[in-house]
Order: sequence, then structure tokens, then C-alpha cells
Amino acid sequence: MGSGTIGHPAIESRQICKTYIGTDRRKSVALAGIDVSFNKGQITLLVGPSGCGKTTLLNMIAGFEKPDSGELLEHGMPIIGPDPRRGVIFQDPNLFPWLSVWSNLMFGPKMRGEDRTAATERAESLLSMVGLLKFRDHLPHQLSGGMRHRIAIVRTLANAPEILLADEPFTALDEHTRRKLQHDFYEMVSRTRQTVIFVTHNIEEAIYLADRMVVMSPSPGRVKEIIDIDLPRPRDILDLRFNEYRKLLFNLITPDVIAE
Amino acid sequence: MLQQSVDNTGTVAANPADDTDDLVAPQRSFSWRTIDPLKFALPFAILIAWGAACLYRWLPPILLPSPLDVVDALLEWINPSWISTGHPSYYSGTWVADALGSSFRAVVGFAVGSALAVAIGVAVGWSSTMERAIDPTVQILRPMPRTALLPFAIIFFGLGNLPALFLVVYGVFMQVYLQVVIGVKLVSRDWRRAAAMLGASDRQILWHVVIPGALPHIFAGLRLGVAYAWTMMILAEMFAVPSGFGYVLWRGYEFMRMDIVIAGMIMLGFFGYLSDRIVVLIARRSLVWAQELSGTQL
Ligand SMILES: Nc1ncnc2c1ncn2[C@@H]1O[C@H](COP(=O)(O)OP(=O)(O)OP(=O)(O)O)[C@@H](O)[C@H]1O
Ligand SMILES: [Mg+2]
Repeated sequence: MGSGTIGHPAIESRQICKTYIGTDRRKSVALAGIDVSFNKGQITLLVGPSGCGKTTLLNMIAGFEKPDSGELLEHGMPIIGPDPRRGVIFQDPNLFPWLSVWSNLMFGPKMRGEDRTAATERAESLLSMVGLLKFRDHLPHQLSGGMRHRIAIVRTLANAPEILLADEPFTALDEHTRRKLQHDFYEMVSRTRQTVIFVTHNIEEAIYLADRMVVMSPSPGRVKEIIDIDLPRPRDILDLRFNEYRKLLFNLITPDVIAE
Repeated sequence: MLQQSVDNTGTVAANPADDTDDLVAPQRSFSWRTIDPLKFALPFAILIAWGAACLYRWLPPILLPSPLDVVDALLEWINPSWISTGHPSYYSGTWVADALGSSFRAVVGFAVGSALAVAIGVAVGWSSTMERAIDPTVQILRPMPRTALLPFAIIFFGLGNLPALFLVVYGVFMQVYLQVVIGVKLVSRDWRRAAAMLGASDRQILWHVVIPGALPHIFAGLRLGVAYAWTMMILAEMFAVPSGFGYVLWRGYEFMRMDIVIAGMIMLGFFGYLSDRIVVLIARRSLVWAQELSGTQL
């Protein structure tokens, strides 16, 4: 959404390290020197086996946690905390259960004191894109799980972030709902050429969405490989070249899972 | 239900507003069929046992007056002209003044005590500086039974409304404070993070996320607090206030008048129940979401 050329880094991570000390006092190195940049206007997927530090890295980019060492920059400026320029979609929808769908969507614009009409227009058009306009006065618990996820995505997008961070937002959903949401998600972010950093376990989901893929490996968390996904859109998961990427990623990730 | 969703053109209308109404407000309109006879079985049995005990003189009347004696005492208390015994008692016709006085002390004490508890509890739950400054003191005072403050209050404030209000405020504060602190601390980190990434400042997170999110605990505290308000108020009235339900009760003991003692207890039960219902009613209305999340009603 912001200005600048596509391909320019929106987020840069330089030698990011993070070590957690667990309850048993054992140290676990979640991230050991992450050097990667995420480009403006691109959808970058963060994939890798469980425990390789994807959530840790994303939480740092969001500003929820701080690295032990290293530098984390957004458009060249250090990240010091959460900021509405970096919107987050969580694994759970995380809606405010005491607010109606509409108040959830207007939460961000209201807190930031944004002009009402612009925010209303944005929220309404996003809401109609996911087909939930008529549920605007419902409370979150009156919606199905899939609907809640869609509202959560709309809530973050309605706040017009420059960079969108998503941590496995569709993992808890059934396959059909997940496909539908992947499609909706791509529609929403591609029309504004939104910068996206998206974490997933699911290789198919990753190839479906990604312009670029950052493959991580665990213990300690590192970047193993960066792959550009060069497939036309809309992508067909049954396509031959889709399958080649699937094989490539499978061969990259599986040894790390078995090594665990 | 199906009938209602078919509109006059004969097509099935998917009107979201209709189901909102159904779901948002758990409507509980009165009808005789909604009365659950089981609720009244036990009180009725107790009343019959009580009547029988008096009828067959299982206990001397000085220990257990009959239900009718209690009703007489209650009527005389409210308005002596309804039953003319000829010789008025200390409580004849004082009910209105007693009820107003007791309610005033309980309600004002509860309002002040719970307002303080919410304000200070939110501050302590939210800010670690406030926690360090205030919480240790409260934790040292809390284990001391609150009723132990009675002599202190009477010496310090003398007799009258002041010691009673002091005791009620203190008792309610101690009861509500802890629940508020716990409620604020247990507000999900993910809600706070969601608000922060949407652009809310710390102060906005406190007002728009932490306090609404803590409301279920805060209401639990208020409900305990309202019961405690009456407890502390009665204690104070027995010793420090020359009127009110507590005063009537204690004089009843001094005169060995079990009928007015029981009448006073019934009044207190009734007023306590009424104030609890008011808190529950407010909680039901403001916590629709939490009730729906848990699938139960308060
Ligand atoms: N709060 C914490 N305390 C201690 N250790 C932690 C904490 N958070 C993460 N870790 C450790 O850091 C490592 C990376 O965790 P992280 O949650 O980032 O992995 P992940 O790649 O997101 O995994 P998954 O795909 O299963 O979500 C893990 O080994 C985990 O045990
Ligand atoms: Mg994770």
C-alpha cells in the first residue's frame, strides 16, 4: 500500500538471535542468526518444520517480542514495538468477543482516530468480498469458526496496514474452508499489492500463495533456503509445475523433520 | 420458528436481524408455565415443619414462635395500626426508617467500596509499579477478619452512620479488590496484542480491552461484595447505630423476642437477595458475550 518500488525490502532481519530459557532452565536456541529480507509488494511464505522459530521471528517483526541480538528494520527504521503499519493475523481469530463484528472491524480506525468515512468504505468493501456483510451486527460467538477467521482477516486489512503478518491463520480449519479462505485471502491482498509475510506448515498452501518462500530449519532456527515461486496466477494445485515445487519443498523439509 | 422466517411473499427470508434478536438477548418473559415448582418445594417443606413444630409444642414458643407470630411481629414493625395489640414495642412502626437507614448504609458503603476496589484493583493489575506500591499492604490486611475492625471503628468514629459506612466500605473493598486484580491480570495476552497491532495506545488498551475483558471477574467480585456489604452493615448496626435492621435484631435478642428476631432475619434475607438480583441482572445484560462463550447463564 505504501509508496516505493516493488522488490525493495520492507522488513530486514540482520543476524537476529533469540534464546529461550525453558521452565527446566534448559536453553533452547529459537533463532540463530537470521539474515533475510522481505520485499515490498510481495507475498513471502515462511515455512519449515515445527519448532524452527517461525512464530518467534514473526512475533519479533510484529514488535511483540524483542531479539536478544541483531537488527530488525522496517523500511530502514528499527522495530521497537507493535505498530498499526504492521498488521497481524493470528492463528486464532482473536476477535474481541464483547464487540459486534462491525465494531471489531472499526476498532483499529477508531483507536487511531482515522476518518470515519474512509474506514467505513474500506471495511464494507472487504466485508462484502468475504460475503459477510449481513453479519455485521452479530457478535463473534454467533459465527462459525470459518466466518470468524474471515472477520479476523478483514479486521486486520480494514486497518490498512502496510505490511501484513500472518501466523498459520488457516491451520485449524477444514480443507474446504481453508481452500476458500486461501482464495479470498489472495484476492484481498493482491488487489492492493499488499506486502505479506505468511507462516504455514502446509506446503500446498505455501506454494499456492507465495511469490517467494523462505525455508527454515530447526535446532537452532536458521534460514535454509530461499526460493522464488515462478508460477502463473491463479494457481492450480493439480498443475504439473505446482507438483515439482511440492517435490522440491518436500525434499528440503523432510530431512529436518526426521532429524528431530 | 420456521413460520416466522417465511415472509408475506411466501419466500424464506434470511433475515440476520431476526436471529440476532434471538441470540443477543436471552429473553425471559414471565408466564406461569416458567415457574419451576421444584424451586418452592424445599421452602414449603421447611414452613410446614416449622408450623408442625409449633402446633405440637416440640419446642417452647420462646425458642420457636409460630409463623403467625412472626407475621404479626412483621406487621407491627411495618405499621402497628394493622394489628392493635395495645402495647407498642420498641420496633412498632419503625420499619420504613429501619429499611431506609440500613439500605442507605449498605448501598452507599457498597458503592464507595466497590468503586475504590475497581479503580485501585485495575491500577494494580495493570501497572507493576502500582502493584509494588499497594498490593503488599492489602495482602497484609486481607487475612485479618474484617469484622475485627468493629471496635476500632466505634472508638475512632463514635456511634452513628460513620463507623457503619467505614466498615462496609472496608469490607466490600477487600472482597472486590482481589477479583478485580485477578480479572485484569488474566485478560488474554492475545487480545492485548491484537489491540496493539491495530494501533491502540496503552491507555486505549486498558479502557477498550482490559476492562471489558476483566468484566466477568469484576462482576463476580461485585456479587461477593454486595453480600458482604449487608454483613458488615448488620454488624455495625448491632453495636454502633441506634436504628436499622441490625439494631432491631440485637434489641430483639436483648428482650428475648424471637418473633422479631426471625422477622428481622427474613427482612435481611429479602433485602440481601434483592440486591444480589440487581447485580446479577446488570451482569446478565453486560456480559452477554461471556455467557454465550461459556454456554451458561448467570
Ligand atoms: N515462550 C517460550 N519459552 C520457551 N521456549 C520457547 C518459547 N517460545 C518458543 N520457544 C522455543 O523456541 C523454538 C521455536 O518456537 P516457535 O514457536 O517459533 O516455532 P514454530 O516454527 O512457530 O513452530 P510451529 O510450526 O510448531 O508453530 C521452539 O523450540 C520452542 O520450544
Ligand atoms: Mg508457530
